[in-house]
Amino acid sequence: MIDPALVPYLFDTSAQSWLQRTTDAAVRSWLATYLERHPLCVSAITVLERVRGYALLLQQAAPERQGHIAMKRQVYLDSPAKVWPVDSGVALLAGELAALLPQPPAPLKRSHRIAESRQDWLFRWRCDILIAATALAAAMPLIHHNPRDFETIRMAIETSPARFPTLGPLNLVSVLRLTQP
Amino acid sequence: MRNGTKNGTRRTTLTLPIKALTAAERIAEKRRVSLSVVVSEALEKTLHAEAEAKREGERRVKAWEALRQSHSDLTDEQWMLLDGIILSEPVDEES
Repeated sequence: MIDPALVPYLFDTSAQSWLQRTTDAAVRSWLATYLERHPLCVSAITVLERVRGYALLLQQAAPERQGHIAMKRQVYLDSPAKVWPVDSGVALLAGELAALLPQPPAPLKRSHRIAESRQDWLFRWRCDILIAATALAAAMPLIHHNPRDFETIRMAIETSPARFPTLGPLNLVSVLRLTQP
Repeated sequence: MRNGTKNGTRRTTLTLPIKALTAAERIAEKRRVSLSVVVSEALEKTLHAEAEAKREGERRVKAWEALRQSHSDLTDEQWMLLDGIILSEPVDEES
């Protein structure tokens, strides 16, 4: 099991969502123990992704549901997370990663008859790069729910040490393994 | 005085690091107060910070639960939007 008391972790957007949705009592207890000791640390990019998501939900919602979505957005914005900025150090690392990995390793998402646009697919990849760069710059392990993308970034850092001097490795923790022995 | 207590205080013996003790003695001398005052102020500050950290942790757990419950009725498609996944392009059946 990952020790919830040991150090603060950076939570990726999809990991935060997964933790909000899980009904697993052991995981919920793990998170409660973590939050008793540390803040929920997220990148400013996660805030960007979430706020964009609420804006799109609002656009799609029927007028009588819009207040409901706005309330969810407000509860999210009021929740006491520690938001890590994209500063010059993060930008420098993200720039190196974007040059090394211009294309996302995972294919476009699709469901039945609709798919992600190439533009949204690349945007999401660049968000992942910025989140990984934030974790690397802050020397925080990254809790994620997106192994394909983040493992690719981790490998790129490991195989190009000259581009990331004195930094790394990028420590990844799958959200699915938090309570596993 | 009962059980060695006096005015809400009690005598005790502590083993402290020399460096910290010397620094505390210097502060006491400069402020013209006893070493006991300096040590008890430092202890009070630590205890206050510990209690505040505990309250802060409890607030975070409560806020998380409120966040979780407020989003409990979202569909999978809505969660995808909050994760930054936007499905908007019609898929060509031939492809």
